[in-house]
Amino acid sequence: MTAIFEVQHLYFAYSNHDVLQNMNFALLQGKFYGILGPNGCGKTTLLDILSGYRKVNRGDIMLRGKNINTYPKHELAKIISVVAQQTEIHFPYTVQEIVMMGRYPYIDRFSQPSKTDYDFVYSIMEQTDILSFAHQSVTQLSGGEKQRVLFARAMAQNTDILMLDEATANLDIHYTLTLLDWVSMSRHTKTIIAVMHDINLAARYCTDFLFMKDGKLIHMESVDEILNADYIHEVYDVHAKIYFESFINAKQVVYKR
Amino acid sequence: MFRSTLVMICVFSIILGLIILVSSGLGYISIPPFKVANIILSSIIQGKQAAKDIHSVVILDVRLPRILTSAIVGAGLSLSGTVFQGILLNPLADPYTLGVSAGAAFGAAIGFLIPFSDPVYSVPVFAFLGALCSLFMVIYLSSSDAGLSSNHLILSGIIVTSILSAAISFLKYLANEQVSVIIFWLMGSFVSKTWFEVNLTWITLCIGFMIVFWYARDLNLISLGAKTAVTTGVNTQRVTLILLITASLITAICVSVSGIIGFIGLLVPHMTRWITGPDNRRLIPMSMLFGAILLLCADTITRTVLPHDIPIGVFTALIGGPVFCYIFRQQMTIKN
Repeated sequence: MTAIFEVQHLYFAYSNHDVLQNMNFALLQGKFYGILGPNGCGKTTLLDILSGYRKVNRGDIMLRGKNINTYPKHELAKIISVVAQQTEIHFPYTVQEIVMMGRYPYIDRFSQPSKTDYDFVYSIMEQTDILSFAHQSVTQLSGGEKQRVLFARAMAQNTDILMLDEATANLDIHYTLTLLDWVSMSRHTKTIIAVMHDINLAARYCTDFLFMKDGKLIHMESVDEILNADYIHEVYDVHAKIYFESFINAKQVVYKR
Repeated sequence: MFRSTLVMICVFSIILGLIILVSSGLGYISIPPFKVANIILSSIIQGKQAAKDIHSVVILDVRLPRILTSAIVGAGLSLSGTVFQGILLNPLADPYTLGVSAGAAFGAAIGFLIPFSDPVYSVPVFAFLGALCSLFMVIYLSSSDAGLSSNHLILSGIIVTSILSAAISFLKYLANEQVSVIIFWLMGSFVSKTWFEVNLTWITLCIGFMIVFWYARDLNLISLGAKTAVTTGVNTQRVTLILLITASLITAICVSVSGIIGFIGLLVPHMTRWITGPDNRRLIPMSMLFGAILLLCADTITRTVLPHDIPIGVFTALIGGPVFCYIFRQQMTIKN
């Protein structure tokens, strides 16, 4: 497996306080990475940097062997797509228009979408179960429906790397599982990097965890190895018991303070 | 979808042309549209050699400049209204949200009060400078590490506007007998516009439209939030700044020519969105056409129907305000 991201000596600070300090790691193709850690540890900032939304102060981020800053934005959009945390949409675009926006990097500024684009968008909407309201306005959808539309938009970008920033935070259990099932099914073609809060949910789907605390990467290992009581105590300052749950075929965690 | 937009643009361009013809004929001396077309055509073909009877003087030197200026300003205010609503992610933003109008008004008031200068030139120049200064003040106030956020922009706009309003009141207080001139200017008017204003606004509008239309698709993505826009290939920072400055310059030119005309930039994009949907590639050209038609009709009504030539800004606000209330209420009831 080849490294898709190589991060060396990454530092990031907002005007006067440090957010990320000296992070070094490599991410491999075809894995599902979960970025976890307490509130304010810099998870989302790290994702912003990996996705090219923010630039680092110091350090190198190599994407497929080239510095991420050397990619033009429209090229990066063909490699990385992002499902952001709850997005407020103020204008009444139809669901299909939103999903089609994921195709923009492939369509010339003043061209119409081709038949291929329409077919692709159609099949994505079918997979993500939003076809029934394809021509409705997004402003009329519920939070969960809207999040699925935004997820479909990212899928329409058809990128090798998919990033999720707490993308399931406002979905009910049913759609959380459905959405993460879709994501992990696409793992044979995509690398997935997700910021998550729920350790148990992450344990079911991720292959590897990045545990962060105070802007530093503390542990990065496969889910089997990283889920132990010592690590969880170190990161979250809670006592934990880890057990294997055969009902869902995954390790799970229960905690107390 | 794209073809139907083109058809709509053509149809409404023709309608606009017809309205220009008809309204050129209306007024104190009424001239049939056929004769108007004849006069305009012969002046285009023969240039300045065309025969100058009273009708052609009225049409070419008096009415047409005013009519064209009002149509162009209508299109310009609608264009920048659309841009502001798109960038500020707020369907209720308008060209004046960022304090451009207050800046222009302040500049104009200074232009009136400066001794030994001809207000005909000093007022538009100072109005333009005032609009620019307030714009850059607002951008400076709202820029931070994370770039320009729409909330910061709106808030800074309010702050700058309220400071300038106080300054304008102070200038009015100092102005004594000239206060009525300032007040009249602030209410907006197309009276006695010349071909100079037509050319100025037309060139501004054309350049502005080309810039905005180039970024129309990026503006669609910006409405999904900065993160999504950036990771879909838009340089959000740069596009926002370019569009902000372009739209503000268009507004500043319009204001310096015509005074402050409210509600066009707010109402027109809002209503056009019902017809074209929110996709900016359709919305921008259509709202320009609607804006041109609307402001031209409004100006024609004040010019020909109403007993006094009342200020156009007052007229649009008196009509536009209640219409907007109605629309706003309608939308709330539909949503619930």
